[in-house]
Amino acid sequence: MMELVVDSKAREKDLLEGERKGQMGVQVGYPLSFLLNGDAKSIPHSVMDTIKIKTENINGKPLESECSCVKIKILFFARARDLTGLREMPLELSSGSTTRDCLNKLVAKFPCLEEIRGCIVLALNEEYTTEDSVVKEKDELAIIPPISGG
Amino acid sequence: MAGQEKTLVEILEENNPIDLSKYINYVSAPQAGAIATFSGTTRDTFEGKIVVELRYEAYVPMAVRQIKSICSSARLSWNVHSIAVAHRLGPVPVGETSVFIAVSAVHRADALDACKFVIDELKASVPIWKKEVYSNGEVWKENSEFMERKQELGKTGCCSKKVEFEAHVTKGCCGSKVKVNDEAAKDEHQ
Repeated sequence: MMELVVDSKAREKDLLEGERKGQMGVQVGYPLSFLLNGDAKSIPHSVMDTIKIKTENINGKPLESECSCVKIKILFFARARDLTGLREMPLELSSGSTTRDCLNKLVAKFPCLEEIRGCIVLALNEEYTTEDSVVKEKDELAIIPPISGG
Repeated sequence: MAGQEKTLVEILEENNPIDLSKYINYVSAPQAGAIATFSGTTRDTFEGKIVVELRYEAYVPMAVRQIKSICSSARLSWNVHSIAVAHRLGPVPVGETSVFIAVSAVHRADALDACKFVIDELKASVPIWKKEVYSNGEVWKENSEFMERKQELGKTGCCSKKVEFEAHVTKGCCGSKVKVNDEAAKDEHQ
């Protein structure tokens, strides 16, 4: 990756040079130098506007993160829904996260959930599960407060 | 000639009363000499407070799955013919039925025991919740059966749910059920 450095001191000098030599340096703004493998190079003005500066955004997309993430859906029922105000929400976690990690993240986001944390159970994809289960992409995790059917 | 063994599970949307005769007819069969039913109805008081109504909600897909699983477990222990379970959602006023279970079997012991099993298990593990509404407030109820069972939920090692139950030895020609040794079952699944 090229590192482009604005050399403001060179600007004045080049501007004067450019004016003297009749070059059109000023039209492209500050003359820049760049480091290629650590060696300073200067960029000819005529080349300046053809250089695509590559930064973190490649084609407008952010660089892919090193860790892969999984996106799951959280369902809230009964008292859990009353406390969070939500019936459902998406949650993104790093790959390999457990249902315990999900719960920790939810309690961090909704501290009021702490009140029922001790008495809820979890269901992953419509089956009861423990806090050690690993979640995967598109899983559905339900927060189940004490039930009272019948 | 003989009626087919079948299982029906229905979670009814709000404001749909349970048609008891529908489910009794469903489980009826020429060879089933007994039909046992359980009807859970809204009581008018709780701990001295006057109850206006109960309001039910459910994690429907999982509730259906759990109830079907309970019915399968019942079939392992008792010689039943057909089972029907219906549970209402939404408000259920005093006196009305919120849950209804019908079980048919050749002999009454199987029907009665299986019916009791189904409602006991439903109250321990099916994701349905009720809110008790009083004139001056409302509260989410908690089944004691669930509180006793919750440590075990989700900890089964194999695909079938481990359900704690005792099967009675039936008299007569329809085969005897073996009492399940829960301790042995736990060890196997660890």
